[in-house]
Amino acid sequence: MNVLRSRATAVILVLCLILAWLIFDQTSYANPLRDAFSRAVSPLQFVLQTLASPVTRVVSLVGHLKELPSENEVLRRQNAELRNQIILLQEAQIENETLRRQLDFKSAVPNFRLLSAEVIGHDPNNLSQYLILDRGGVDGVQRGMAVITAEGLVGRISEVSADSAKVMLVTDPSSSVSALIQRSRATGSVQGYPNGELRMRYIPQGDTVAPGDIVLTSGLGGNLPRRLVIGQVASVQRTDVEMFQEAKLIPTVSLHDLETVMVLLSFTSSEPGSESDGK
Amino acid sequence: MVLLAVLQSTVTSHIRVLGVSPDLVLLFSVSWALLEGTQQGLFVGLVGGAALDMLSGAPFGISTVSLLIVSYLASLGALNVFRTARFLPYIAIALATLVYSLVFLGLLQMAGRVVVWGPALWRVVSPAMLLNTACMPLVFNLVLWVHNRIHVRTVEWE
Repeated sequence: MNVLRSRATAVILVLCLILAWLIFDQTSYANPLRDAFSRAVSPLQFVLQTLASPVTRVVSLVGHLKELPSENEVLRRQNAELRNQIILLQEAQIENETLRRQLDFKSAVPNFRLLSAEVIGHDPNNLSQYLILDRGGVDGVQRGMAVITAEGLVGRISEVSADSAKVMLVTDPSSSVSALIQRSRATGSVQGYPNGELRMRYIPQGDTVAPGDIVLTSGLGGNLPRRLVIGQVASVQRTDVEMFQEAKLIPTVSLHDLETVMVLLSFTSSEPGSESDGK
Repeated sequence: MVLLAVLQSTVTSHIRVLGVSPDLVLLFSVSWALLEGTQQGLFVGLVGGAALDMLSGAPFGISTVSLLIVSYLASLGALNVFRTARFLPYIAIALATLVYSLVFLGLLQMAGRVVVWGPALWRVVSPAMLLNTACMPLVFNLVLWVHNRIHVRTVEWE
């Protein structure tokens, strides 16, 4: 009897709750029963949802297991293609920047007739410093022509074949270039030194040279144009017993990383009527 | 050897340690001469030197003569009582780098080029000796592997 009574009570209670729920829902007021229910159930919902999500994923994965290897292969190929495209675009961007710099330089020096050339090799010996270019006699390159970049002097053509040429770098010990200090106009001769250094020799004792000074070509002899940047003074050696001073220079051009250069085919100096064929 | 010379001119010239690059052709020539003896050593030195000369801006023949001398001297190691010594390749490459550089610089000077001996020896040759010696284990073992492949030893029971 008791059991029956308690069941009836429970049923009545539930019915009452349902009725109350419906009444609250029909009125414009907030349903406190729904709120209480939501509050009680939502933590459980959260826990179950968190647990269910990986399970759902695994179930879905099992369903797609057959397609996965082929899909993986397609994605891998796409990834490789995209990576390749990115590398090519980066290369194109670098090349574009180099060419733009060269173009800016060419328009800045209208008196220079320049030929772009790619560096295709370096001297294999550590004891001599040369570059090999992809342009030769067919392109008008001749022995003695200056090779430059927008940053400054690279060297001079020492050997020419039909479609390639060798450049003796300014840093080769056999290279010698007439130069002047931009600030003080002191003159001297820039010579290469083992291990890619530069030394400016024969600077008269009375002339002022200081670290940081820019060294340019003097144009003496007419083989090279004036005012090409060679390097920057790093330190100065001066002794009272010597007739001349000597300065250690840092080349402005990074000679080991060169990819493209310009061969100076001919130039006219700033003085009107004077022209040289760049040799 | 030509391929090695081209590699030395294009790829390894960008690998700069202490301001110098490894001399692949020299490393190979010395290793080969140590393993194969005078005749083979001289042949490899000749071909390697000519390949270097073709790519170098230095007067033609300097690398060939320098490498021939070094390969000959190294091949003496193959006849030597120390031929089985493990340290031989390392000593050989260090001395070979020194001799090669001295002959190269001497001939360069005789050809009328400017040679600044002191700094060249101190700043180029010394680091090159260290770098080539450091590269020797790799190159020598590679050459040894090739050597063993060519000269397969067979034992027959009679």
